[in-house]
Amino acid sequence: MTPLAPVSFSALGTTAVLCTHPEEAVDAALAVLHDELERIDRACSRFREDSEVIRLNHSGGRWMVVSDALLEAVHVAVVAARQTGGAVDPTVGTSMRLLGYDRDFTEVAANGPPLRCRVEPVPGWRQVRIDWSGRRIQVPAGVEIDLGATAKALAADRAARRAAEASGGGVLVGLGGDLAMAGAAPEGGWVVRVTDDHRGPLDAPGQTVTVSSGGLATSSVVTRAWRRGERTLHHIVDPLTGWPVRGCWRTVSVAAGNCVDANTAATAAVVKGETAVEWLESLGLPARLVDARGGVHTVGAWPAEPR
Amino acid sequence: MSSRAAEHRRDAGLARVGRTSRWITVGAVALIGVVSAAVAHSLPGRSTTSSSSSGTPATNSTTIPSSNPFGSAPGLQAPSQAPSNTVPASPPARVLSGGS
Repeated sequence: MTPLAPVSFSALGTTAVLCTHPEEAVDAALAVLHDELERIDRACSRFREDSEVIRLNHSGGRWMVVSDALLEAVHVAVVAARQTGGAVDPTVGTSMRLLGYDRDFTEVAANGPPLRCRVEPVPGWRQVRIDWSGRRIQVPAGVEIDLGATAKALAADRAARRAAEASGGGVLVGLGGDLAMAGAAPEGGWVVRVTDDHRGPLDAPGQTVTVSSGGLATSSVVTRAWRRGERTLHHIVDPLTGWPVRGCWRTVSVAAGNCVDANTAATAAVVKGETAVEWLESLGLPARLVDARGGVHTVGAWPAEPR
Repeated sequence: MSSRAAEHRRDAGLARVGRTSRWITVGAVALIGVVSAAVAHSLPGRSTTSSSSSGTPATNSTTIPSSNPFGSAPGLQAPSQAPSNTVPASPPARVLSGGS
């Protein structure tokens, strides 16, 4: 079986990966992927002055008419919050900014002085209001939206689906390690290495699995981490405290029917900590959880690692 | 007619009036309940929230609330097929799923 060579490039402050089957479908799929990346970036980037979500965060509590892209992204984020009991919450923007993640992560200093600010529990997703008939969103003054947890996954789902339609082939789209698949996968499925960091080597510690459809996402507290004083911070915020999660899981990978659901479940599992296993089991989501000591725990139909 | 018999008829009449009043009260309460339930079922209400400092009316808006925000919010969808381990004939992994 000939390995399918992925196309990869930088996008959305992370890495975009595209695989097609057959490989000849790559041009049509790539055009769609670029289109979706620009769409989601223009709507949802916290680090782009002309993005819609920046304007929404500065709207002073007024209703704001938004594009379909932002409307969908906020809707998806709010649904994710509801599905996870608030563990994945889009109103973590202020916490992110106060913690120092206020620019593209490549520009965030790896080390810095101790934080001199008061971090509080997040306002909560129920503060976000959507007016569907008017295509408007309202966020209270002072509340900042961060769609990072779900917007990339949404873009991956949309791009994979559209690219499969446009190319007539099977497509895998990866954005920051969150994978969406659509169309007919190659025989035996897409071969994926599940690990802590999507930028790691292809033989990094982890598990190699095959997947054929839907979504596969991984959330980890060891990536996008930085230090302020003696404290290590990272990008997964516990909405109950406003601080980065200090739970029992280092990395969680989840397979789901689509990338948004996989990403939502993986991030929520990191936040939920010890209760995550039971929660994932109740949802029937196959998952692989790595604890702080490197111990691997599998949930549901996730395959045990071969010895 | 003796005064004793008149007193007896008066007491009996007062007792009938008391029983009738009690039954009318019970019947009225029951009727109100039945009518209220019927109206609630046939004319369901609608929750509204006050608008923000912008003063924009909340009419025609959907609040993202704790209850049933989009008609029915679907649960997280399980995959149609779970991941599986590779077989000896599988090609090497070319894609990583990891934290970002």
